[in-house]
Order: sequence, then C-alpha cells, then structure tokens
Amino acid sequence: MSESAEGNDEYSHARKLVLRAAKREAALSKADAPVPDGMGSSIGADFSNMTLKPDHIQRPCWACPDGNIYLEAFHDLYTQAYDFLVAISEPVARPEFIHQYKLTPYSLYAAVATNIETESIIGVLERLSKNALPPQVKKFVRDCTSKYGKAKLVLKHNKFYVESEFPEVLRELLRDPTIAQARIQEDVENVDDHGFLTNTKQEEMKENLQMLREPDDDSDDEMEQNDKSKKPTVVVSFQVDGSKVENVKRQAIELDYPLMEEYDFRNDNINPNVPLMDLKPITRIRRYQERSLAKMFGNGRARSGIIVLPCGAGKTLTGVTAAQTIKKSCVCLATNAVSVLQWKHQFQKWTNIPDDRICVFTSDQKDKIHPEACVLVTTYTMISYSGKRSEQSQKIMDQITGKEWGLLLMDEVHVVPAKMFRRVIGSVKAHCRLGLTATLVREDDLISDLNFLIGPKLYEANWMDLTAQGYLANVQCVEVWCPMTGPFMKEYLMATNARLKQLLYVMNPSKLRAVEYLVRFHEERGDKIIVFSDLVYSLKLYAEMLKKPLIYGETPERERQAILGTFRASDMIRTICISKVGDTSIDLPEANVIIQVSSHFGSRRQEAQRLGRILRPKSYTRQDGTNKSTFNAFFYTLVSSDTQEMFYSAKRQQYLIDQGYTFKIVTNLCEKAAEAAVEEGYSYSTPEDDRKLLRTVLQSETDLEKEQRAEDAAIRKNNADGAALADAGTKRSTGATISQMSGGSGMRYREVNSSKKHPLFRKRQRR
Amino acid sequence: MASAASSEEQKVSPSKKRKMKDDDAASKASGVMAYLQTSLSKESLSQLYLDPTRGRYVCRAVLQELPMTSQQVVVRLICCGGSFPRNLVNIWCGKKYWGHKQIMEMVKWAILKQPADDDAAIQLTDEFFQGYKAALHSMDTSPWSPLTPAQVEVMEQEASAVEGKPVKFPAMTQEDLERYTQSQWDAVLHYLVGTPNLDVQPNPAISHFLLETKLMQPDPEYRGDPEEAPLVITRKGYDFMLQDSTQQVWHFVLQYLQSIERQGNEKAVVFKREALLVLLCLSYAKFGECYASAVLSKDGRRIVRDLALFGLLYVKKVGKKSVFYPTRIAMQLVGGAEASSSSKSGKRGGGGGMWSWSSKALDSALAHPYPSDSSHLAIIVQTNFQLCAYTTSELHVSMLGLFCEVQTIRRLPNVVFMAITRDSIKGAFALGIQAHQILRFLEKHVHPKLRDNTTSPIPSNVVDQVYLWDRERHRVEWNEVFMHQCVLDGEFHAVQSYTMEHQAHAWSNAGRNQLFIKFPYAEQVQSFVRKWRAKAAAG
Repeated sequence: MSESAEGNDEYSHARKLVLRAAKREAALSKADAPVPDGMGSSIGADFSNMTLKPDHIQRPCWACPDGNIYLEAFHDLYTQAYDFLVAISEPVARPEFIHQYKLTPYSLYAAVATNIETESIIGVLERLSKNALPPQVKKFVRDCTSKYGKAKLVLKHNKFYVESEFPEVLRELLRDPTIAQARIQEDVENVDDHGFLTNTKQEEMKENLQMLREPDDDSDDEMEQNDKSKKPTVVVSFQVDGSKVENVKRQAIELDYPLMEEYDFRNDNINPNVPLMDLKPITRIRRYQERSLAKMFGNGRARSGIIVLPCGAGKTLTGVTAAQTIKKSCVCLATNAVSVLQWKHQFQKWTNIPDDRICVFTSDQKDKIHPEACVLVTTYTMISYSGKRSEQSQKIMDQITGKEWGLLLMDEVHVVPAKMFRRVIGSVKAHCRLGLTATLVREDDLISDLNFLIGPKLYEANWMDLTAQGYLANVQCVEVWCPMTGPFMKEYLMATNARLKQLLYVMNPSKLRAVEYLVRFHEERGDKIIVFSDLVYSLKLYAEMLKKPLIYGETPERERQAILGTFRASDMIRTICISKVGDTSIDLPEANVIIQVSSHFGSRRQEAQRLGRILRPKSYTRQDGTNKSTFNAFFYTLVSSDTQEMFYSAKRQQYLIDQGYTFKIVTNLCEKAAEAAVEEGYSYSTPEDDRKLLRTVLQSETDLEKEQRAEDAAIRKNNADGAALADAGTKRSTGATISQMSGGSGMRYREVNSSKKHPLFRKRQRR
Repeated sequence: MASAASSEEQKVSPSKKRKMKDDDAASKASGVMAYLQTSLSKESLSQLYLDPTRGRYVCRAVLQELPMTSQQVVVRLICCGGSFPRNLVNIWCGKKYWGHKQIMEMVKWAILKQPADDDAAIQLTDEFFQGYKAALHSMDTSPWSPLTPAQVEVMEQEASAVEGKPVKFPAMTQEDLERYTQSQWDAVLHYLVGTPNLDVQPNPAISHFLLETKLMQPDPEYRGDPEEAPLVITRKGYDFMLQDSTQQVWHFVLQYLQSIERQGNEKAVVFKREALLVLLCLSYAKFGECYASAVLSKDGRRIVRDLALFGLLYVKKVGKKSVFYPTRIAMQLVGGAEASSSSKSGKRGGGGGMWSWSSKALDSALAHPYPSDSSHLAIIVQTNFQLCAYTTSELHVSMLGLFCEVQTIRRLPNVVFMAITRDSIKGAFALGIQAHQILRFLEKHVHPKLRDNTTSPIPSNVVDQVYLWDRERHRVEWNEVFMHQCVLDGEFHAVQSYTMEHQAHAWSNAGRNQLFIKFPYAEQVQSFVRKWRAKAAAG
C-alpha cells in the first residue's frame, strides 16, 4: 500500500530526528553534573559553585548547567518569566511556589519555530537568571537551534518555497544535488545575486515577542517599532517543484536542516474556502485560547504544532477557531463516535457553517463529502482501518485520500497508537496539522515522535493559573483508604493470579460501602456523579448495587446516547457508572463528582483524563480570582489499603501533583460508611453479605476474564483511546521498564538501595 | 461539603496529636523559672529573694509566673502586712479561683508559709515579703542600666590612653548580635553533626558538654584506647538537633548549672546562686544595649564569660574594662515555657528561637547569602513533596538530610532542593526523630514569603502524609508470648480464666485449645497449669 508506505517514510524521518535530539540531550545532562561525594549514582547534583549575581534577588530563576531551570512563582517578574520559560522549555513540575522547567531539544525547536531567535533565548535567560548562565546551557541552546528552524517550507500561491532569513543556509541546502534538482528557476524581479527571491519577512505578532523585551524599556517601545518598519528583515527563498517536495524534505533532514512547514493559507487561491465559516458573534475566546492561537498564526501563516490545554478548558473551541481562521477544508479526527458528534455540534454552535458543509464519517453515519471545501469529522479508526471496507466507505475514503486538505485537526493526539498514526498521516494530505491534547504524557516515547510528525508544542497552559482565574473548576482530590476486610485480605494474600488479586481489591466490601455512602451523600447535595471502574465485572456489580445505569464497551450507541442525554438534561439520573470508555471525550459538563473505583495500573494519563471530566467550570465557578479558595468539584479515588493499589495510586497521581494538585488522604471514611450501612440498610452491610460477595467473586474468575476481553475488543473497535489502553495492557510483558509502564519517575515512593551512608555518620576526632 | 466534612475530621486527628505532643513538650519545659520551681529547694529560693540588690527582680519574675488570682492575693497580702485570715482571703477571690491547689503552689514557690491547718491564716514568707516590698518601693525597671553614649565616650578615651592609640568601641546592632549568636551556636551544632573544615571551632569545654549530656558518645566500634575513640552523635543527639533552639540552649545552661552543683562545696552553692541571679537579671536587660561588666560581681563576670562560650552573650574588652551585650536567646531563657509555644507565635512574628530570625535580618541574608553570614535558612515545602531550602550552610544540608532523600539533593548557589519520601521520613523515625519535630522544624524555618499566609505554611497533604507514615510504624506491634497447648477443654478454660485474671492473656484460640501467654507471666502460668493438672489427675 503506497499510502502507508509514505506514512512509514515520514515516521522514520521523525525517528531519525528524535534520535538526534536524544543524543544532544544526553550530552547536556552528562555535561559535568558533579555528583556530590559519597553518594554514588544519584539523580542529585551539586551546582553550588555557580556564581550568583549580586542582584540575584531581583531575578526570578536559576539555570542549572544540566538544563533544569527553577522559577520562583512568587517573584514579581513571574508572569513575564513564565511566558518565556513555557515558550522555550518543558514544564516539569508546577506547584504553587517553585516551578521546575527543563530545556530540551524539542522545547527549543518549538521556540525557534515560533520565531524566537537563538541569541534572544540566551539573552533573556541570562537576564532572568539569578546565576551567571552556565556555558553548557549556552552551548546547548546554540547547538539545538543552530540548524533547526533556519529554513522553512512555505506553501504560497500553491507553490512550494524553501525560505530562510539566512542566504548561506539556502546555499548549503542547494549544494545537495537532490535539492538542487528540485529547484525551479523563476524569472521574476525581486531576485538577489544568488538568484534567490527576496521578500520582506512576515513579522511575528508583537504580543508573542513581548516577553523578550526588557521590562523597563516600555518607553522606547514605539521607537523600536518605528525602526523595524523602516528596515524590515529580508528573507530569501527559492521555489521547489511540487512533485519533488517529499524528496527535498527528506534530504533536508539528512542535512540536519529539518524544514518547518508553514502554510500561507491567505494566499492559497487554489483550494476553495469553506463558505460562511465564521465565528458567531456570541463566541467569546478566552485569553489563553487566544494566546495559543496567536502562537499558531503568529506570522500570518499557519504553523503545524500541538496545543496543550487542560481538559475542560475549551480545547474544542480552540480547534474550531483554528479551523475557521484557515477557512480551508478540514479533517477533524476524534477518538470515538460520541466525540465526533460533539465536535460536529461544536462546529455548528460556534460558527455559521452550513449543514451540508460539515459531514460525519463513522461506522454508523456516512455523510457525503461536499465536492468543494468542507469540514469532515471522523475517528482515527475510520481513517486508519486497514481491512476491507464496505463499498460506500471505500468511496468516501478514496475521496479523502484524493483531496487536498487545509488543516488536519487531531483531538486527544496523545492517545493515538503509533501504527494508527502513521496510516492517518499517510492518508490525509494536509498543509497544516494541529494536535490538541490535555496531557502530553505517555508511558511510551511516542511523545517525542509527535514533535516531528505534527510539529512542536506551541502552547501549554498552567492548570493552577486557569483554576485560579475560574476557567476550571477547583477540584478537591481525595484518596480514600479502604481497609480490606479480613476474609478478602486472606484471599488476596493467598491468590496467585494477578487478575483475581485485582478483582479482590476492587470488590473489597468496604469500598462498596464507601461508594454507596459517597453516592448517597452527593446525590443529596444535588451533585452529579460519575463512578469509574476499569473492571467490567465489578462495574456491573457496582451499578447493580447502586441501581444506576452503566455504560461500557458493549453498550449500544443508542442506549449510550440515551443515558448520557438524560444525565445531562434532567435530574432523573444523577449517577452513572462508566468503564474506561468514558475516560476521554465524553463531555458531561454537569458532572462534578468522580468516584474512581478501579483504574488502569499506574497510568498517569488516565488519572488526568478522568479528572478532566469534572474540570469544566460550573455555573457557580467564580471568575474573579477567588475560585481557588473554595472547592466545587470532588475527585475521589478509592484505594484498598495494603494492596498493590496503594502503589499504583501513588504513581498515577504524579502528573497531577506536578501540575500543582494535592491529594488529600482520608482514612476514616470507611468507618463512617460502615456505620451508615448498618443504619440505613445498604446493599452490603452485614458480614454475611461480605461472605456471599466473596464466594461469588471467587467463582466468577472465568466470567471475569471473558468479560474483560470482550470489553477490550469492543473498545478497540470504536475507540482509539481504548485501544491504546488495551494495547498498553498487553505491552507490559514485552515493554520497556516497569517504571515506564506504571507511570514513571514519581518521587514519593521511589525505591532506593539503602547502602548510602549519611554524612552524619562520619566519625570525628575528639579534641 | 462531603469531603470537607469527612476530611475535617481527618484533620482533627493529626492536629490533636500534635497538640498532645506540644503539651508533652511543655511539660518538659525548659527555662530558668521552670528550673527554679522544680529543682530548687525552698531555702535556696528564699535566699534568692533575700539578695539585697537583685532579690526584688527575682520576686517580680516569680510573681509573674503565678495565675492572676494568686498575684492579686499576694499584692493584697503585702498591703495587709503579710498575713490575713484564710476565710477572708477566700471571700476576696471566690472558690472557683482560689483554693488549696493555689496555696500549695505558692508554698512551693516559698511565697507562703506552709499553713498549719485549713483554718490557719494565710501568711507570706518573710523573705518574699521583704523582697517584694523592696520591689514595690523601687522605681527601677532594670537591675543594670545600659551604657550611655557619654559613658561610652569616656571608656573609649580611657582605653585609648592606656593603649596609646585610639580604641573604637565595638558597636553591635541587633542583627550583628543575632549573627554572632548564630555563628557561635552553629559551631556547636556543626561539631555535633561533624561538618568537616569548620571555620569557627567550638571551645573544648563544649565538646566536653556534648559528651556529658550524652548527645555524643565515644564511637562504640572504635578498636583501641577508649580514651582516644572519636565522638559520634547519639540518638539523643539527633533528637536534640531538630529541637527548638531555645530548648537546645537551655539544655546546655542546665548542664552548666548541674556541673556547678556537682562540686558540692559551700563556694559552689554561692556561685550557683549568683549564676541564677545573673540569668534572671538578663531577662530584664534590653536587647541591643551594651552593659559594663562593672555592674557584675566577680563571680558574675566569670559567669558572663562562660555564657559567652555558647554565644549567649557578647563580651568585649575595651581597654582594661570589659562590656557585654545580652543576646535575644539569653533573654528568652527565663521564659522557657513561652519559647516552647513559639511554634505558634513564630509563624506570626518570627519570634521564638534564634533560627527564626527577625524578618529584617532574614530578608537581608537572603539577598546577600555570601560570604559572612551563611547560616540563614528559609524553607519552602511544596505540595509535590519537594523541599526547597534557601541556605548556603553545610549544617542545614546535613540537618535536612536527616529526613529528606539525600540522593535527590540538587544544590544551587543559594538554594538546595530535596525530596521528602517515605523512605527518608522512615529513616528519620529510625534515628529517633519524631514526626512533630520534623514538621515543627519546617514550620519554624518557613520562607518569609509564606509567612503572611493565614493557612499553615506546610501543605496539608504533606503534614497528613508525614503523620500517616508515622502511624505506619505502629501498625505492627511485637509482643513476646509463650504458647501453651492445652490437652483438655477443661484445662483450656481454667487456664484462660486464670490468665485473664492475672493480665497474662495475650490471645487464645478456642478451636485448637491454644493459649498465648505474655512472656513475663509464662512461668507463673506454667506452675498454675502443673497444679491444675495434678488436681485434675487427683480428682
């Protein structure tokens, strides 16, 4: 298949770049990080001999030679420093007071891609840093940015141009025979001595470069602006043959000048615009959405890249706005049929797009694609399906592959398995790719590939800032410790089968009681509750106990929509039980309580995604900055104490903890629940109930296996995200390290060998 | 609010626990007044009251220790000539506030004479009566008056005349003094934790003290002459390190007093009395003022020199005369109980121990961490269990290393990052450090930016987690037991009831006729069993 071959090709290029980047990063972290004596191999480092500037107190951050940057979040210059650091580095942890960032090749690529120059990165970093900028950092920044981002591939007037500010870069590229061959000589006026076309540079938006400016030179701002308009930067370019573009791109990667693609959509008059696709006047874009889009369209052209916004912060609106800015045909990929409908709905809600210009392509619904420009909403699975298709869908598929698209919009881009991703990229020819995600973490290393397959990360919002501003609900995260009842603990300790162990700690009767207690409590308060369980068998039991509707992989689409509809619209249903199909993309703005009964081992992403279900601000969320003082949503994780669950839950929370969330541990809820159970007659209140439950659990092992497999199959069929999760389950045996799989580098429960000797134990001579 | 409701309760338990521990600490309260009350005989107290010039200050200080009602009674009694009928005194106060307990307390202070019976008149002791009368008559607020600028000038001139060159008076600001105390005291602690290459070496007397107080011990693993064995820190020493600095200092002063006591002769008794008087008078001195050593007796001057070893006073010679500055920590020694509660007030005012610097001193230290004053410490604990400490001192790094993961340390020029992990906290527990000590330490040294917060400066999830880790230790309890296998049911019941009666019962399994007996009672129960079996065989 030629299309997938092309996808593979691009994929292998991305890998090549990833490897190169990894090499650079390794060189940096090795760059003399002196290990404190007597501590052997450790993650620690001693940089205490760096010189501190005399006026360090006026500067907000420290830059370490290994690329780590620490930022005082309570500093006066925080906002400026934050904007800058997010643009050039990767946030590692952003709690309330001291943030940690890390310079990586990718983050620097992203910085260059948004027109921040090498020297200004170094200059501003030097200005912000409390210590003299270590030479290693300067070298690293220069290394990473010397070649990347210097040349761009621009699609303008439907011709491809290789464009650069630096003529020598173009000359170097042209020294390569493949590229030289692809060049088309033009006979126009504005050529320089080398035969390059000269143009004035597309100025980057003022706003995007604001952070680079000295804080105190606001006064001569205007003058500077005038200077610029008098002497605009000149860019040079040459045209390449459209049919040889792929060769040029590949060759450029070989030369380590990866071409960044920009799409000059305003000057594209071959591809027609989607008519009437304008934002409705009622649509209001929030500041951070605007910032992220400003990064994308910074110089009047569209850049490919990824935008990271927390769940519930309005990713969809950001995507819709991007699509309507470009106004060309657009493919929008979602993870499942439910979210496809949501995307369509959002397009219609925010823009005036005519009904016949937006079409849906799912297994249930196959709209006809408008011959001219249109918006197509579909799932990853539909596009990447490699088996035999029905005649109708094959026809649509052919149309998709045959068409030239303006924008490829990818929702929840972090969940797509690599293989599927390749096929998608091979099938849809788009001039610009935009990925949207809430959690750019994955337990495998696809994330770095995304940097080259889609583009650099353009923007990442800070969860805590958005919460403080009231754009997100302020969630109280609670970890409830449920002691295992005696008989369950006994079986748990004796069980050899991991599945059975898992079932035992999920079905722990004190957990059942705690769930019922919490559900009753919150229903009385008038909250809307989602109960999450990964284990279908237990989900069914919980639903039965609570007498609430449930949704899992095999639930028919119609029934699913009906349940969700009732939940959204009325108070008839206040609680629903959902399996992992509900982790992403199910939009339930009314829900404000999550009770998580069981989960996928140590997946940090799942935890963040689930939290995202209730992050959407509620009608009573205050936007005047006081939001942080009160909690208006609750995220309960029930954990059976003294089981593996404790370990997994610590791993899972790491991502959110790094975003500044705290998990409150509650140990006495189960006692209260047990009391209430007896008083109010819960389904499981007596020891006899517990024993009965244990007997059923022990007998149902085979059922359980079967159901779980059916669930995985069902999910894989129509939900890319689920497939990723299901894949992760099987990957475990072959996959890399356990720590990667279980959620990484958490500090709290880090295992260390205890052979270290504390300096205090050193001996001293008596005087 | 659901979780609030449930979590509120959860919150109670650790904080309750903390409060309990605080009370615990208060009961061990340190300070001159506590020492006077608990360790001095009534006779010695009376002697203090009788001191001609300083007795009145002792009386004042003691009176301030009493509850308000008792203070009232004392003042009225003085106006009434020192004695008044018991039933009338009762009318003054009301039963609720005045009774046997208060009387006995005052008897213990040697303020009241021991009443012969319940109806006897309430009578002040002659010594206290005289001492306090003197206090009422005098208008002085301080036993010593600080040097005036004019006096200073005279001293400078005299000194210059003696030396033959101009002599400058050693002017010290409050910050200078704090820095001085800090560096002296740090030298002690550095020695305790064994920092290599110290700049300030502590006096040999101090290492003697460390050994004496069992904060350090000769290395038990040392092979060779025991006299030569190097010193290592003890468990008590770890505990000591994280204590309130006021308590630490008091610990030393107490040791000092006790070492005087041990000499046992008449001279030592007089000397100790002088020492107590000096300490009491110090509390009336003004911080940042300079006093001439001439105000002291000969013994007093020796005491001042000794106290200067710990950095409690700053002593300087100007020509032939010497002057001294009291430090904040020395003045706080009197009110030891107050200092132990300063974890609460420390949050507000930054008062309390010497490490919680006055915010002005700390701010300037943060701005200029080099080179002179490298002993400031400002800590930020973050919700992700990362600890960030603004310090340049090896000592602080070592101290933080007691409960932070040493392997995660990242040192920057003026700041240190470390992580608090379960292992690291458990390691601290194993050294005998308490959870509340760790948290109090963190709270005390919190970064000034976090001080003005009304909420706790340490994230509540970290606090809870530390207590939970603490609790983990107590989940399994090890008891030595003796298992007794009974042959007959009758025997089982008989032995079971016997063990129950004698609190020897640990656990029993009726199904298998097994009894688990607390080990100390094993023999006793065995002999009972023998008797029972003999009886059963006979019967």
